[in-house]
Order: sequence, then structure tokens, then C-alpha cells
Amino acid sequence: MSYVSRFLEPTLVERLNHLQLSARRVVEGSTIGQHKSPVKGASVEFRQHRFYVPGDEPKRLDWRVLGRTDRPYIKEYDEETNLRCVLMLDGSGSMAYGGRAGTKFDYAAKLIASLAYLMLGQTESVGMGVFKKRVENWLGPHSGQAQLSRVIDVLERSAAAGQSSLKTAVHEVANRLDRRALVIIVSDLFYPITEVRECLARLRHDRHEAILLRVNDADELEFPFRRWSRFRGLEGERAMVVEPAMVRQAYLDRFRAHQQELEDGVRALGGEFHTLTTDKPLIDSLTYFIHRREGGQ
Amino acid sequence: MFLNPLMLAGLGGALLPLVLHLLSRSRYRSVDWGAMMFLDAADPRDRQSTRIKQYVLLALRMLIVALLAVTLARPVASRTWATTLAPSGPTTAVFILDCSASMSVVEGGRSRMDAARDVASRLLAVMKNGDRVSLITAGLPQEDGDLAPSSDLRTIAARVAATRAGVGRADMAQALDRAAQLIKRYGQGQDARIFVVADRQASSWSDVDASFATTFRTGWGSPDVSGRLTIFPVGGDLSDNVLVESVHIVDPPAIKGELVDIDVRVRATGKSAQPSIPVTLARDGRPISTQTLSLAAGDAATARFIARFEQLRSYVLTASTSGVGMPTDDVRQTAVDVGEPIRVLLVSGDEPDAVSPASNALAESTFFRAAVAPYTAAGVKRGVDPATVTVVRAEALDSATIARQQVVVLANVPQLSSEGLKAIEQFVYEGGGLLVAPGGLVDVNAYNSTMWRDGGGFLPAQLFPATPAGSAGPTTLLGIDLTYPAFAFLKGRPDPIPNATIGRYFPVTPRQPDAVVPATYTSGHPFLVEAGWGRGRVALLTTPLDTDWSTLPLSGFYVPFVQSLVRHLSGSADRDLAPGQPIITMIDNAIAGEPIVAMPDGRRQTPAVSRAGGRTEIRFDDTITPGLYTLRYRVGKDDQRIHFVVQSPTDESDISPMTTAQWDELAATLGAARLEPTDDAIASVFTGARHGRELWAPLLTLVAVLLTVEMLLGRRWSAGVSA
Repeated sequence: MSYVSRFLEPTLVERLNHLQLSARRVVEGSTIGQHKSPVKGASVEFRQHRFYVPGDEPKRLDWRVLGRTDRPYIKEYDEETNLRCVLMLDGSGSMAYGGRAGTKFDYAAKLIASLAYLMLGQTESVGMGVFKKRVENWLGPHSGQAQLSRVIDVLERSAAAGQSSLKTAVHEVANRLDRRALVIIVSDLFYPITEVRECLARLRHDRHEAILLRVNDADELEFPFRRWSRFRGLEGERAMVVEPAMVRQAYLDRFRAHQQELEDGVRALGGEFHTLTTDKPLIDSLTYFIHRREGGQ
Repeated sequence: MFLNPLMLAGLGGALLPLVLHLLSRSRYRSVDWGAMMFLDAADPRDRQSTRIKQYVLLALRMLIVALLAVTLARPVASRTWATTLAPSGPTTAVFILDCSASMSVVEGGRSRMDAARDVASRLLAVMKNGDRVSLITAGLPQEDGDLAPSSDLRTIAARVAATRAGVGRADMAQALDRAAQLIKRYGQGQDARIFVVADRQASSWSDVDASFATTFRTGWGSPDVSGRLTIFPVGGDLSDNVLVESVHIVDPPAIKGELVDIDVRVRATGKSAQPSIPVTLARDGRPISTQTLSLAAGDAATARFIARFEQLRSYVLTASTSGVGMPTDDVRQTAVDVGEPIRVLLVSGDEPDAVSPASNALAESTFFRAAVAPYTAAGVKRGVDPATVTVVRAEALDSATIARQQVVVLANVPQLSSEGLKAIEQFVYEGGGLLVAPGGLVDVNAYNSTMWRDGGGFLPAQLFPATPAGSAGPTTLLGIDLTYPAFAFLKGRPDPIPNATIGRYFPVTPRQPDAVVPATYTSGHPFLVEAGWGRGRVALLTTPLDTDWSTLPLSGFYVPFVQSLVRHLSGSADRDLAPGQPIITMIDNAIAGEPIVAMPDGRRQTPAVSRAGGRTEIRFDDTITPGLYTLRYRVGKDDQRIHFVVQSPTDESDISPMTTAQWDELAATLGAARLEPTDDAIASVFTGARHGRELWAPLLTLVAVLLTVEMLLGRRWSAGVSA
């Protein structure tokens, strides 16, 4: 694949290619165990050959090719893809915050592109939506390389601004999915816990698997400001003039409590929760995320 | 009441935290923030709490600055408050009273000593029953037993009133050190004070430097002595002074009936020239004559007097000038022992034959006798010879011949016999003077083996064979040290180098490190070498006394040089002493009864006496006080009297006052307060302890506590700050 954009830079792609094996095992492992397709092997429409990698079932080897070339190849068919994944990107104004490492939205968009690249490279179906108050730029789940270019196109045209509603967006997406799917929500999750719980409950009700990837800036975790500052809300909240030293402890207490409630809530509803910070290289965060999944969380 | 009310201006600084707070608020930075839900969603009570915390911290900071200003203003609680809060205990005070010579200066009709006594009395008057006081009289000798603090303030006041200015210097470093030791010993745990009452003379404080201050504070026993050491300067800023710096006989010893030159050196210190200063010289209290000197500022001049001493006894010469500045240094004395002509034994190696004296008429003895006993040599009696000369041949030298001589001259003696050598050694060891003048007959190896002995003998230099005749060409004298007593007569001469030629001489290597070389030849070799040996001294002249090798005896240099050298070697006793230098004198006869020493302060004491071999040594050690000491003793039925003068140091004569900067530096170094002795200042020194209590210490503690609280609260309320 040769798609290049600011969300999928060549160096990132190169690193992602090294992740391919792990990613596949993770994605397949996580999907085959929980979302076994009733139509597995029903399709006879040959799609492509790909090189055997450890972990593939030997029965799927193309013995003819092996006999002729002495090289192990796997035969793949279109309907063999049994995972549908929907990537939901938070486009609210708070995602526009960022220091020298860049904005959270850019980081999240790169994450979306990378996940799409990984899964589409494994012949999965990938859908995507950028949500604010509603889901905008919806792409239904499709496989194939053309889908990646559509995903990147949507990302290129999107920007973080205004308010958002996770609850509305999740309901909207759930309504559009007619089959079980893996729903990955990439957001700073600056929402009330009850709203997040409702969203997860809806997805669980529809038997979707949910992964919440929280993207934060380091400033939001540490609140390192020293001088008197006027904080202006990126989603239209009223501005506040505070002495950071005096509010730091209360801020951090609330932030950590919110984080803990998020983790507890997601776990209680069978979902996965991961936090990524923008000051860490994306590939490292992604690798860590995949390895954690691989290790059974 | 505030002791330093100017510092209250610092109260304005209390607004500084408020101004900084408002400035910070008005100059905030803007941050576009996403996680507003964690700021904005704060509980209104939290916001209120945060605001209150800010105000608390702000108030704390303002309070700290204000308290600091009040502390620096040194508030004093009223007596009632002070008594209620902390009743003060007794005070242990050490009074250091400057009793140096400069305190005798009279300004405005009143001496500095009077002013100092007055200040000390007023300080004593504000003390209370139960307080204890030590009195240190800086500049006067004082026994340690007199220093113990006494609660009998009336006795202390009487001692203060009886104190007089001395003639010495006040060493304030030493006095402060003693005071610190006293406080450490007697004043621990009490209100301890040191009061210095002194004039403004800078030299008194010359030893008080940063290094001393560190030691002083350690000795005091408290790291902070601020406010407890108080200096009261008295007197004015007079700096001009005229002093008699020295008075001495030009060419000792004084010979009975001989005219003697006496130099009186007078110096003007300070900033003003002294155009007409009278200088009077008196002998035993009777004036000899008066001269007038003109002195530039800081300059010195010498007045020369001539006197004749007709009796064989000890005289006192007193030089005085009329009073500009300090009176005690207007007078200086010296003691003079007048004796018979010096007894000289000349041991000749080439004495002319008695049968045909004309065959060797120009021998060493001829020239030497003509030099030191010219009237006798010439057969006339127009004056007094400085010496009487006895000539013996070398082989006739023995202990009997040498007895009672003052100076022995070895003139071209080839070598000494064993008996002669022992006699010479014993003679020098006991204090005699020896002049060695080798010539062509001398056996250099014998001299070196018997007199030099690799530096262990009495010869002050190792001899080498004489320079050959005509080999290196004639030389002459070049380097002459005019401070050497035998060359003092050359001072003031336009051309002190003698016009004489030395054809041959003995190269020598002087003994190190004690031998001195007061004169050298043009070639660089020594002309004269001198060193002490035992109690005596030995001079080595490296060319003969006659005209065999040089034309010196034919020059005008010869006679005064030989006379001066003989006078110098005669070892006339120096009756002028430094303070503390003991009086030691040897008397040839046994004395009758106990000798007595009359001291400058009128006291009479008995010196130590030891007898050995019919001779008597008298020793007296209590010579700290400058002035005239007279030793009286009896030999048979004759009363004898010898004068000694302990000279006062001249460094006290510089009465230049301290500058303001020097005072400030001194006060800062010692942690002292300098107060002009006004009634208010004297009344205020006990304000903290007596009429109220200074509150700076508890206030400073409170400031420290508040600072700690502020830091702790600030840290607690802003916990989580990343580094």
C-alpha cells in the first residue's frame, strides 16, 4: 500500500509493516474468538494469495503452489473476512488542544489511519465516522485498499471544533450497524461518566465489542501552569482566570477520579480502555496497545 | 518605642505582595483549554475556598514584610510589659577604659581621660544593684586578679575616678579578648555587656581585623553580639602631634671629662607643619641648652647637643619639646654611664725592638695609639683620650695581662700561644671586645685552626691567604653601612668613602648567619666582619692597622674609625630598655645589703641578686611601665646608683583619628554599636534590659515561624507542582 498523507507518513507505515504480524494475530484473535462468522469458508471467490506466516492454519496452505515453488502461500477469499470494525473519531473542540507535540485531534487521526491501515491490510472491513454533535462523514465498513484512501480523505477534511455528543454519535452508529462489529472510539472522553456508560451499554446490548482509546495531552495530566492564566474553553465554556498553583490539586483530583471511573465503567461493561498521550510517539503507543491486547489485556 | 525608627519606613514594603498579586492577576496569560470540565465543574465551595486560601497567603506575606520592618526598627516594650513578659536579670558588664598615652591629650581645656572617666561614671550610674562590673584599663599594666567582676559599683566608680592616662599604647584587640574571656567565665546566661570608652585614635584598633573578630565572637560565646558591645568614642579629632622620637649619645660610651655629642630626634605627625619647635636637653634635670627646629608635616629632624660629664657615675639626659598634641611623648629620657677611658690591650706581632725602636717606628701599635690615645701619644695634655693603650708582645699574652681590659687588639700576631688563646677566649666570652687585625706575619692556617675552628671559634670569618702584592691591583673601600656604630661618624658627610688605597688584604668568608659585614672593598671582599661570641663581640679587620698594605692610617678616616670601633667593641652597657626587657647588670664587687629599684610610679622594689666568683648580678623583671628606673646598691660604704630608662613605644604618638568609614567597618566587623556619649545614648544602652525589653528577638522568631507557615501552606495548597 502506498497511501501517504500527514496522517500516514512513510516512516509510520514502515513501522506499521513490522507490526503486521502482531496486529493480525491480535485482530484475528480478538475477533475469531468472539465473533465467529457463520459464513466462514462459504465464499469461493478467490481474492489473493499471501505469504504464510506462523499462526496460519496449515489447512489453508495452497499445496499446489507449495509443491511448485516450495514456498508456503495462503489462499484468501473475499468473504473470509469476518471482522467489521468501526472507527469513531472525536471531532469536538477539546480535541484541538495541543502543545509542542501537536493537537490531540492530529494524534487521534493518525491513530485512526494507522488502525485502518493495519486492519485493511489484513482484509478486514473498516468503517469510520467523525462525530461532533452528530456523526459526520460516515463511511460504512468496507474492505479493500480503496477504503483506506477514503478514510484518509475523510480525516484530511475533518477538523476539531465545536461541541460534541458521544451518546448521540454512538446511538447513530449502532443503528447503522446490522452485524456485530468492533467499535473503536478515539476521543479525549471529556464527557460525563454516565454518558459514557450509556454508550457502552448500547454497544454491549447490540453485541458489539467496544474499545475506548483516550487521547490526552501531557498538560491535561499534569497541569503544569505557573503564572496566573485565563483558561478559555475550546467548546465554548466560559473563561476562568485562576492562579494555577491554587487549583492544581483540585483539578488533578477531579481528573484522576474521572479517569478511574472511566476505567471501572468500561471494564464493568466488557469493554477495553486505553490511555494515550500525545507526547509519546504514536507507534510506541500503538505497539503497546496491541501487545496488551495480545497479552489478554 | 523604637530604637531605630527609620526602619519603620519599611512598613510600606508590606504592600509589595499585594502589588505583585495584582500585577500577576492583570498580566495573566491566555490558554485555550480543553479540559474545562475539571476546572469549570469545580464546586462553588471549592472556588470560595481557593479564593480564601489566596487571601490567607497574601495576608501572611504582607504580615511577614511588615513584621520584618518592625523588627529592624528594634521596638522596645514598656517596663511593665517587659517585666510581665520577661523580667530581666542582673547585668555583667566589662568596662574597657582607654588609658593609653593619647588619652592625656587636652582638647577644649579638658583631657580625653577626663571625658572617658565621665562617660564610665555615667554608665555606672545607670546600672542597678546586683549588676557586676569588671574594669580593664587598656594601656596600663593590670593583674588578672584585678579583673574579676565586682558588684560593688561604688568601688568600681572610685577606681574609674582614680584612673590616669599612661605612657603606653592601648591594644584594643587584647583588651577585647580579655573582656570576652571574662564574659565567658562570669557572664554566661546573664545580660552581658562590653563597653569600650576610648579616644578616636586609629592605631589603638590596628589589630582588630576580621580574623580577630571571628575569634572574639567565639570567645564571647555567642554567635550574635550585636547590641551588646558598645563603643563610646571620647575626645576630638586632633591629629597633630610633636614627639621626641629618640635621644642618644652619638658615639658611646661617654668618657669622663670628654665632650660628648648627643642627638635628639623630633618628629611631627599629623597634617600640619611645625615651623618652630623648641627642643631642650637637660642633664639630671638641669637644662644644658635649647635649640629650635622646623618640621614639615610627618617629617623628623635632629638637634645635636654637646655636653661634658665630669663625674664617674650614671646620668639621666632628658630631651623635651613644648606641647603640641600628646603631652606624654614630649619628653624622652636616656641613661648614660660615664666611665674612665677605655682600657685597650694591643697585642702586637711586630712590635719594634726596644733596643732600636727606630728600626720599626711605624708599627701597628704606633698608628693605633695615635688614633685612640692621641694626646698621650703626642705627649700633650690638652684633652681627654677616649682610651688608654697597653702594648704587649704576643708571647707575653696571658690571663693576668688581659685582666680588667675592655678591648683587646690582635695586631699582626702570627699566632697565639695556647695560654694566650685561652685567655682571649675567656675574655671575649665574658663580654670583652676583640679586634683582630692580621698582617703579613700572620699564619693563616694557625688562625683558622685555633680561632675559626670551622665556624666554632671566636673568629667571625674564615681567613684565606692574603692577596699577593700588585697582583690584582690596589683597591679601596666602597660599601659602608652607616648604621653600623663604628661608621656613624660618617653620617652627613658629603663623601663618606675614604680616600685611601688598600694594596693587600685577606679574603675571608664570614660565618653564617650571624656575622655582619658593615664594609667591603671595591672587589666585594669584606673589609670588616663582626660577630658576637659569648657575651662579647669580635671584629675582624682584613687589612693591617699600619701602612704596610694600605694608606688608610694616613687618611682622615682612620682616627675616627678606629676610635669608634674601639668604643663599639668596649660594649658599653645600654641603659635604655624596651618595656618588659629585664634590668640586668653585673657588678665586679660584692654588694652590701639589699639593692633597691625605684620605679617610675614611685614604687620601690627589691631586685633579684646572685653572686658568683666575687661578682654580683642584679636582675629586675618588672619593667612593663615606661619611664626611669633607678637601681641603688652599696659597695662597701659607697652608695652607687645606676639609671635605666624603659622607653615608651612611639607608635602611640600617631594620634590620627579613625575615619567614619573605619568606624563603620569596625562596628560591622565586631557587631558593635558605636554611640556618641550623649545622655540619651548612655541612658539607652540598658533600655532593653532595664527600662523595657527589646522585642527584636521574639519578633524575628515570629517572622521565621510565619515564613515557615507560609511555605508549608503554599506547598500544601499547591501540592502536585511538577519540578
